[in-house]
Amino acid sequence: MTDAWLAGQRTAFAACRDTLPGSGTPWVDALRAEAFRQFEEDGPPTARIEEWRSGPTAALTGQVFAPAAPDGARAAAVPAPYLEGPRHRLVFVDGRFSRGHSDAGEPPKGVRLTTLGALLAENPQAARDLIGDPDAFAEERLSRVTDRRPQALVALNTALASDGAVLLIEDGVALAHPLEVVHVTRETEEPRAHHLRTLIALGAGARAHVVEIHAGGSAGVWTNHVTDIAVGAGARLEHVRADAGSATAVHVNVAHARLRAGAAYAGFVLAATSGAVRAETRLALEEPGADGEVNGVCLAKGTGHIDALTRLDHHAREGTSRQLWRGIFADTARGAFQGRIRVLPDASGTNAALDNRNLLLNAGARAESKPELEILTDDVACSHASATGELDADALFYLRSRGLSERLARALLMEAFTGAVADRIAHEGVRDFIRRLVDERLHALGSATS
Amino acid sequence: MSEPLLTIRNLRASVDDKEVLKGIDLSVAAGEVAAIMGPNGSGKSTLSNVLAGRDGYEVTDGEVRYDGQDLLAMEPEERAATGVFMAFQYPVEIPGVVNATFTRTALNAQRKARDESAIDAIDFLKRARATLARLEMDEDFLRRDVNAGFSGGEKKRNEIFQMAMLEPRLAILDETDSGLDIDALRIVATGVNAMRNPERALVVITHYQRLLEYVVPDSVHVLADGRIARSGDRELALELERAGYAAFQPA
Ligand SMILES: Nc1ncnc2c1ncn2[C@@H]1O[C@H](COP(=O)(O)OP(=O)(O)OP(=O)(O)O)[C@@H](O)[C@H]1O
Ligand SMILES: [Mg+2]
Repeated sequence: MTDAWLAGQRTAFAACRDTLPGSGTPWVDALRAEAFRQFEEDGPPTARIEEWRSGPTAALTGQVFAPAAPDGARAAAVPAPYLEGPRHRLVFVDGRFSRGHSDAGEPPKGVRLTTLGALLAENPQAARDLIGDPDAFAEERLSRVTDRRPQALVALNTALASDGAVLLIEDGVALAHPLEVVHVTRETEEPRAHHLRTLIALGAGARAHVVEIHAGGSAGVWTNHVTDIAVGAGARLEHVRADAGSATAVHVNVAHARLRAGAAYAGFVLAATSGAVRAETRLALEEPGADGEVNGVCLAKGTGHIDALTRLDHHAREGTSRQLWRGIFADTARGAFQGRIRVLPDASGTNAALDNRNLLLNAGARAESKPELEILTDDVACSHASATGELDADALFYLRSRGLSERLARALLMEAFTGAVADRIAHEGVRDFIRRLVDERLHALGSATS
Repeated sequence: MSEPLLTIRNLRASVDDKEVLKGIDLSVAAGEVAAIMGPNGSGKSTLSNVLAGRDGYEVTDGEVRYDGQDLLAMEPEERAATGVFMAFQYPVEIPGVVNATFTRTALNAQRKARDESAIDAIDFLKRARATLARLEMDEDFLRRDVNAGFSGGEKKRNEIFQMAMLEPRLAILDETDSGLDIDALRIVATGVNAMRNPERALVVITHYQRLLEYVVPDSVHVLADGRIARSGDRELALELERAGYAAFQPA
C-alpha cells in the first residue's frame, strides 16, 4: 500500500505544484522541490518509527489521497462564528482562503493579519524566514548519536501547503481580540488531502490569542496542518487548537514553537473524533526564562484513534513548563499520549511538570500513556504523573444515591475530569467557547456508550 | 396504625459470596427515629448500602417495602427521588464537581423525577445559605468541590447539609457522629432534630450513646452478626454503653 500511497503523493505534487501559492518564485519552487525530495526520502510514517509507534498510520496510509481541487464551486457549510464578542476571523474552505466567509476586522497598527497565499504573492521574502527549511523539525537524539530525523509529514506539508493563516505582530503590540481561524472541508467522493500552513510570529513583548478550529471533516478527508510559531522575548501567545467534531476524517496537526527569553506559549488542544487524530506540539524553550504550557483534552468514540505527542525541549536555564492532559475513550476507541520533556545541559533551574490521566468508558477502549523525561543536567525539578482507569464507581454511586441519573452522574464526572484543563485557558471568551465545545463533545461521548 | 414507612423482612445479602446480612427484620414508622447500634463488622453499613442500592451486594432472600413499594427493585436514583437518603459513613471526594452545582443538580433531578418544577439558582442559593447558617457552616462550602479536601468532620456536616436540602422521607445516617468534635456533634444533632417530623423516618447508625442524648431515639436495635439481636427503647442504648456487646458476640 505504501508504494501506491507514495505514488499518490507524487501525482498530487506534480498536479498542483504550479498552482500552489508562491509558484514561480524561485526560492519557493526550490523549497517545495527540496521538501518533497525530503518527504520521499523519509517515506510515510510507519509504526517502526518510534514517534509513530502508536500513531494512526493505517488510517493515514490505508487510502490514497488526491490533492484538493484548487477551485470549483465554493458552496460549503461554513459555521457561524464560534467566539462571542469581538474577534478577527479567517475562514479556509478545502485548504484555501475564503474571503467571503472571513471577517478580518481591523487589526491594530503593527499587526499583519493575512494568508500564506497573499504573503507569498506580495512579499515572498518575508515568508522565507518564517517557514524555514523542511529539515527544521529534525531532532537530535539523547544518545548523542546525531540521528537527524526529519518529520516526513511536515516536509510533505511544506511541499504541498495550499494556504493558511499568517499573523505577524511587531514588538510591543498586543492583538486585543482573539483571532479565530476556521477550516472547513466539503464532502468528497474520493479521498482528498488538505495541507495547511499557519504562521505566527510575535515580536518582543507582543501578545495574542489564536484559536484554530477544524469544523469537522467528512470521511475520506485528510487534513495535514502545520503551525510554525515564533514567540519573541517577553511575548505571550495563547494558542488553542480545536477539533469541533470530525466524523471519520484523518487529522494530523503539528505545532512547532520557538520561544525566546522570557517568552510564554500557552497551548490547548481539543481532539474529539471517531476518526483518527495525530496532534503534535513541539516547543523549543531556546532562551532563559521561557515558559511553555501544553494542555489537551482527547475524546474518542467508535473506532476513533487519538495519538497525542508533545515534545518540550528546555535549552536554556530557568525555563518552566507544564502539561495537563486528559483523555476519555469510549467503545473500542484508542488513545495514546507520548509526553516528552527534555532538559539540555545548559538548562539548569528548569521546572517541568507533566500530568496525563485517561478514562476508559468501555471494556473495549484502550489508552496508553508514555511520559518520557530526558534530563541532561542537575538542578532541575521535573515531575510526571500518569494513570488510566475507569469512572470512579464510588463517586458514581454517591451521585446516583442523591438522585442523579446514571447518565447525568457520568456526564458530571466526565466534565469534572476534563474541566480543569479547559479552565487553564486565559482568555475568557475562548475559555467559554472551549468549555461549551468540550461539554458538547462529552455529551456525544455519553450517548455513544449508554 | 397504618403500614410502617419502611419494612424489612428476613433480608439476606452477601458480598463476594460471604453472607453479611443473615435475615434482618426491622420496621420503622413515619415520624420515628430508630437507632441501630452494633459491633464493628456486624453489617450496619452493608444494610444502609443495600437500602440505598449500591452495586456489589447480592440480596439472596427477603424483601424491603418502602412506602408501599418494592425498594430493592428500584435504581439508586429512583430511591432518592422517592425520598430515600443515605448519609455515607465515608463520604466520597469528587474533585472538579462544585458542591453547589451538585446539590442543585441532585435536587432538580429528584424534583423532575417527581414531576415538580426546577428550583432556580437564586431560590436555591437562598435556601442553601439559610441551611448552611443553621449548620454553622461557612458559605465557602458551596463553592468548594464536593468533599474534596474537607476534614472528616466537614464531610459529615456536608452530608447533613445535603440531607437538609433534599428533604428526604427516609434518612439513613451511617455513623454521621463519628469523627465529630463536641461542638460539631451538637450542631449536627441540632440539624438532625430539625428534620424530625411526623412524615419522616430517621435511621441513625451509631456506636455512641452521646449522639442519642441529643437525638433521642424512639427505638434502639442491636445489629450483631447480620441480625437484629435485640430491640428496645432508649434504655437499651444506655445498657450497651455500660455492658458493651459481649452478650451479642457469636460464641
Ligand atoms: N465490599 C466489600 N467487600 C468485602 N467485604 C465486605 C464489603 N463490604 C462489607 N464487607 C464485609 O462485611 C462485613 C460487614 O461490614 P459493614 O461495613 O457492613 O460493617 P459495619 O457494621 O458497618 O462496621 P463498622 O461499625 O466498622 O462500620 C465485614 O466483615 C466487612 O468486611
Ligand atoms: Mg459501618
